[in-house]
Amino acid sequence: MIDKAEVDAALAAIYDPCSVQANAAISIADMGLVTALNIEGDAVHMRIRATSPWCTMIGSIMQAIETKVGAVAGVRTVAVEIERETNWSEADLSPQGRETLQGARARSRAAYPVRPRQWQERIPKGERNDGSIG
Amino acid sequence: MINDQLVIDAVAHAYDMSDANTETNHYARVMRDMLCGLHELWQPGIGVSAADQCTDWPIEVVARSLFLESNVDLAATHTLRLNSYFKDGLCARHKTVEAIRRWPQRFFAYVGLDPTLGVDTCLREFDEQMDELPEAVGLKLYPAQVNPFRSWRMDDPKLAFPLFKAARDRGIKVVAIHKAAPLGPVPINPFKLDDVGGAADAFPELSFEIVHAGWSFMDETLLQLAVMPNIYANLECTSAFSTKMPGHFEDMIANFVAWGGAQKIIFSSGTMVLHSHPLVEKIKDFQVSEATMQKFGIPQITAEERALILGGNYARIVGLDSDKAKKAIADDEFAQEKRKTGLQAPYSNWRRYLKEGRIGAAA
Repeated sequence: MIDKAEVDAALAAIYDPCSVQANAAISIADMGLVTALNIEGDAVHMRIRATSPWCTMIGSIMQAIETKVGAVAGVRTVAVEIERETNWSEADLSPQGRETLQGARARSRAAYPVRPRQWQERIPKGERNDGSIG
Repeated sequence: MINDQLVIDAVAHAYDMSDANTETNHYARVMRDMLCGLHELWQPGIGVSAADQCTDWPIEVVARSLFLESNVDLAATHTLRLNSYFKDGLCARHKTVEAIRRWPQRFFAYVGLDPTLGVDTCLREFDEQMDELPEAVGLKLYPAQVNPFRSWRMDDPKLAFPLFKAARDRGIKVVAIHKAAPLGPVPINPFKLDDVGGAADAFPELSFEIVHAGWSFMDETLLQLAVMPNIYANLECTSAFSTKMPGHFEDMIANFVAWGGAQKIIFSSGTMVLHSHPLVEKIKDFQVSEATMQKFGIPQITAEERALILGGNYARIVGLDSDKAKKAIADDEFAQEKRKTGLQAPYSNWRRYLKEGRIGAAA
């Protein structure tokens, strides 16, 4: 008998590689990448989606799921499918994921304060060659 | 032309994805599969098969796809130096030269370098390419190569800065750096953006295009656009979000406008991996919702801003005389044919060349 809580814990320990790179490490569960999780007997079947159709890390994520979920007591097989029907957006973050991302953004902007269109301050208005808007 | 404004596609390529040209390493195979998948999945129903994509694309077909099958008036074509993936770099130098020799009124040229080869080799190759193509306005770069993994930084004063100095001294206007879209299952760091600002700060006379801006590392991209006057978001492939994921595209453009301004956004498609026509049609009338205006604190996108995105910004960066450019294309071979046939169907020229056996599988 597979304990779903253990599977969830395994997924919570797999991090989205790009979020790690962006100093906002978020698990694939909190990212909202897991779109289906079914447990039947000793088999786990999952569907996941990428944050972008160009994602080159999806293979690594699938491999990590197979390893970590496969190590859960009672699991004999893990099947991971890529879902292509839905697209990911930031709205799919869990509250925890959103808090992590917002915290990272706030820290980054505090360390390096930037104002919108700050570049325009570097060029006197009369000397701008910027399409004359803004 | 849309509302008498030139439409400029800032990236178009004639790839060679034939077996003969594809390196045997794992990364090259993955990269080719990704490009085929992009073509098949992002604009479903209009493209050609993976087998037909895995050929050596003539620049003539790229030109016909752009100027007969869409409302694009002018385009930039890049010499690519992805030599660890594809033997000729993916888009060979001779194709860039052919584009400029045959249709100087239609194309802008970018020379290409691989900085992992070292500064001396790059400077020599740069001079060779500029001697051959003094009309070039741009320099195209990739941040990393594979087999083995190696990368470099845009703010490296010993490697990158001599190249930018040479570029500036020979009249190059813009440096295009591929970022945000890792090329296969490779280390991600080189595709981040923290090195672009240092280069832009050291070379204020040059403009820097972040190619594939918005694909990932959005926050970092916004910081660069907000701070540096000479950093631009080039929408190659990310423009396809306009039809594939319109809501995501709306957020992306709103973010760029809020932080950088419409003056910092450059349209491109990446033709022929993607087709420019559906993207131009979508962007020419693009507006954001009330909710998006509230969320990002921006007013509605204006017709003037859309014109900047679709060509005005690029024309300004490369110093194009738009009136002269309009006259030069008004009655050229593409204008004449388009007047006779009307807008041709997406990829109809590619299909016809394939059917007639005019596209070889060999490099």
